[in-house]
Amino acid sequence: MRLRFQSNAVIQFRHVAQIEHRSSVTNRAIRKDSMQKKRKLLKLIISAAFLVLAGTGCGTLTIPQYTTGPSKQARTVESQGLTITAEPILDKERADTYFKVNPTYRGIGIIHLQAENKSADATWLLAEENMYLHVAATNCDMNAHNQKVKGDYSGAQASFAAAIVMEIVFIPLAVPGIFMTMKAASDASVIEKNFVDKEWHNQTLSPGQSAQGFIYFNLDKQPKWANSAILRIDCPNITNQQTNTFTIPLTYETK
Amino acid sequence: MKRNSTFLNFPGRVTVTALTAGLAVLLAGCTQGPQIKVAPIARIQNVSAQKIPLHVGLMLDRCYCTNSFKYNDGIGDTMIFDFGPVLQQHTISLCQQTFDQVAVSTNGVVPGGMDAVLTPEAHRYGFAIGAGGGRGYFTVLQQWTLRSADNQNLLWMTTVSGQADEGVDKLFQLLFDDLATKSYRAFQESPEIKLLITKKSGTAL
Repeated sequence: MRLRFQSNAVIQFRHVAQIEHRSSVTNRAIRKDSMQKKRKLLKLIISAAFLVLAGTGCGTLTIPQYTTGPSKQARTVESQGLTITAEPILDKERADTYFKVNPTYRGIGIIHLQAENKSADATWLLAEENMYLHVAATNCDMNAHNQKVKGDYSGAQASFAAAIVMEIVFIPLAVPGIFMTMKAASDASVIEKNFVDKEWHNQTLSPGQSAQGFIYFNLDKQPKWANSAILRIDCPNITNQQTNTFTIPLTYETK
Repeated sequence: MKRNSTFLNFPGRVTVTALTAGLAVLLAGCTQGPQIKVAPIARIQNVSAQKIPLHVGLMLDRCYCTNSFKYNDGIGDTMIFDFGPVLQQHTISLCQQTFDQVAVSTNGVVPGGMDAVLTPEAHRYGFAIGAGGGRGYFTVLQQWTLRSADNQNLLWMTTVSGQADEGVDKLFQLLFDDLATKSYRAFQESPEIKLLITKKSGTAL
């Protein structure tokens, strides 16, 4: 009887042990399965993030030189052998190709200038300090000097904020987030520098010389400035100290 | 029993978050940009053995000698590049290699006995960072103004665009090399400087 009881206890113990063992194995399997699922999810999210990153491009942004000739919008004036052609960049296509901005949205007036001195003996000074944009709608006169165009870093700021949030919520996502921030900041800096690269160079034009470049105006509150604008350029003739004033109407139908 | 996290455990998360917050605090503010290390003498490519036969007064004002460029990266960090001292040193070196005689003035007094007076101005800076962060792109627009000996009448003006794209270690040297070479070429090709030389040699004869 006693032996029987003992053997029953052993059997029961074995049975309990077996159940516990099975339960432990099952738990381990569930845990393993859960970890595998998490790893798969992680891989999926990181791959998606890197795909987004690859889609935006990893290399440094390059902006081409302005090679386009004057369009129908260009206005040319000539006086005393000096020819000046002014053309505002109003179409989104050229603005995007050569400046990577939407000038209306950014509140920037971009004007391309070409000058050629065809006179025989006059040397003209063409400097931003002597260039003014008059916007009739606001009766405002702006000087082209010191019109530094700032880059738009809002994309970089948003990416940076997102990267921090990603890091707090889900650490592995912060890595592509940081890369996206760096890319956005780099793009903004390249766009800002491009304005300097293409800027008009203050200079004297000797007979036979020509020059071209862009002048910029910060027109935050005047998105439709080109509906009624006049560009005035005072060009002193350094040979006789007399000033030749060019008045170029830049009036277009803008939507 | 709490299962181990696949990623980082709670203390790990807290540490990384704290580090990020610290980094953000560090990033927000003004920091000195990389030191501008360049050779003390302006390096001009294809320099001519013969200098321009003019005596030039070089006017370096305080604004030029102490000018700096502030770059804001848009996420709270401002880098300051102190260009003034290097520009001053290089401008003097460039002019000494270009013109027969150079009298430097840093106090606004026009040197006497000169053929013309030359004034440089750092007109504009442009800086961009490569997408990887290791490469820098710089543009400096340097304006040169040549006036008569009494510094009254404008004779000639040009703007030179010095450009470089490199890693930080070589960026500034390349930038100043380009600036020096382009400025030198502009002096050599200027019709007004040639006219001044002709006038001077005519007077001498």
